[in-house]
Amino acid sequence: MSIETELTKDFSLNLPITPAAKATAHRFAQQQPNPSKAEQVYRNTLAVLTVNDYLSMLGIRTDLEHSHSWNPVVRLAADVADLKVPDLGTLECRPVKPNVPTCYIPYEVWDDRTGYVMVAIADITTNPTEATLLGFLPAVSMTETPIASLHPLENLLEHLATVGRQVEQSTIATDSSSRSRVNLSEWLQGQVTEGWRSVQYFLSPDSQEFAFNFRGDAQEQVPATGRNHSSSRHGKLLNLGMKLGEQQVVLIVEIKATTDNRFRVFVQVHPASGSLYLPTGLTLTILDAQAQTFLQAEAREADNFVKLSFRGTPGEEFSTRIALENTAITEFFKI
Amino acid sequence: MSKTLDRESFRRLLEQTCRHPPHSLERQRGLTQLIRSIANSGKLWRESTEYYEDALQQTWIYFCQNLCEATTARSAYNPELASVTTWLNSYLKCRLKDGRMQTCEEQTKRIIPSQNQEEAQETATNFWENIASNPDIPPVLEETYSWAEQDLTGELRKVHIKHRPDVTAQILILRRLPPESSWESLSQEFNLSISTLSSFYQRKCIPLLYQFGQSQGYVD
Repeated sequence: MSIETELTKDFSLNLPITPAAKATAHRFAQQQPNPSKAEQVYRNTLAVLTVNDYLSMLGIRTDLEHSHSWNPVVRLAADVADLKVPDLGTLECRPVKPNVPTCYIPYEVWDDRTGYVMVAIADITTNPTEATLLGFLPAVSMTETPIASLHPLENLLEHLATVGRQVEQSTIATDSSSRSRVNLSEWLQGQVTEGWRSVQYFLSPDSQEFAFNFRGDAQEQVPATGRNHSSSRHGKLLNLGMKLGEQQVVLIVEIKATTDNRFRVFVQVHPASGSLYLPTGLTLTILDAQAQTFLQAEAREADNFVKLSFRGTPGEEFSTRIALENTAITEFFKI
Repeated sequence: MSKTLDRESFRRLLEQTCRHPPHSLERQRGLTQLIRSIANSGKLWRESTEYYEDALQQTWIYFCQNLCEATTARSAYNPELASVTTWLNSYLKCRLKDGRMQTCEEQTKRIIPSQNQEEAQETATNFWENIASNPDIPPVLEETYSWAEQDLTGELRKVHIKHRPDVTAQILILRRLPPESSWESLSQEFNLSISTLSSFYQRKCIPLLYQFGQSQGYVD
């Protein structure tokens, strides 16, 4: 058995090389001044296009046009096969001949890469009709990187998801100062923030699942108007997921005045009407003003809701983050 | 983990995959595994026609978009009606039919010459010689070379390796444009490590080259 099949058969993925891809690769190769650059650019281009196809199929947005490998001047001046993935960085897509033990990674692509995907493409003179995504590495430190060290392709997806969460986290931290926050104290004065509604609004006629188990709070539905109430509860509908197959949940926040000028805040997430359970793996995180996590709950299988509560002082800022897989929605509050 | 899943494992994976929202990590992982299994099963229709790869690519997109929800199809895949391979093959054959009709209408010129007697004689070197820019230096290369050499704004000379004002972006760009000097020889020449040189090149020089390319409006 060849080296490649031994090590990568369970990790790899074959995808077709289309005539359009070959035409683009050919066009780029024709711009090169010598045969070896021509072959390099041709193979680099096919590798980039194969990875691009794979990511696009899975709904991951790419920016081919602004990738360096799509710039004629850079192609001449460097051995680059990058693919820009907006918000997540740049992937390097290295072509390699089938059944060789190492993949060549030129020095000029060792930095500034989110990761490396190796793509096996047979000698172009044999007219290959398919390319094989062999695997993934988050970083390289050798010009001849062993194929045996590659991680499965799925690790690429996980890596991108992790990077996405980190990017989002740092965006929140930098934005929080300028962001407008829901002022919960105002709720106690009968003022309700736009987008938030009384909890009754979200109850469907037959929703017995909406049982609020707030500690020590068997009573009160808060009237729509009124002044200086000791507690106030409102909900907001959130859409997780993109395009089709959205998961809708209701975020319910209650603020309750306790003694000595402090407040207790209750945060719950419920499925929107029509569902009995929250999606498994949904997490509710409470973050402090520095975007640090200080409470978290996760929906297990067949959970009707998740809830958290904490105490705070007037003016204190926090945010709630509801996440499912690699989608998250954050809401910002001030007590 | 075997290359091709048995029926039961496949069915379970399919169910699991569709339980997760579209574009979620778990959905993407599941789709990857399913495609791998289907591709390796040998049950997908194959033919060696010009338009096969296009049709196959469209089929995988169709698979990802309609396995769990109907995104582009009238209805999503229904396991009660057919096996996944049957469902995909039916779509694939439709696309192949489109490809066949289109080929009848246009004379698609093949970029890669087919393997016939004379062309089989062609060596790999001849192949690439014929593709590479012939006989002159490509205009983009010439213009890039001029730009770097003239450095009208002085920018390329201003950007240099820390503590080494003699190793400028201009010098490295001119040396790395084809016919390029190897990193090994540059390292010896300037008495700097390859990683210092290549890191500088990647981080400082390539963006300058990129901007030059953009500003020239070179359209592929």
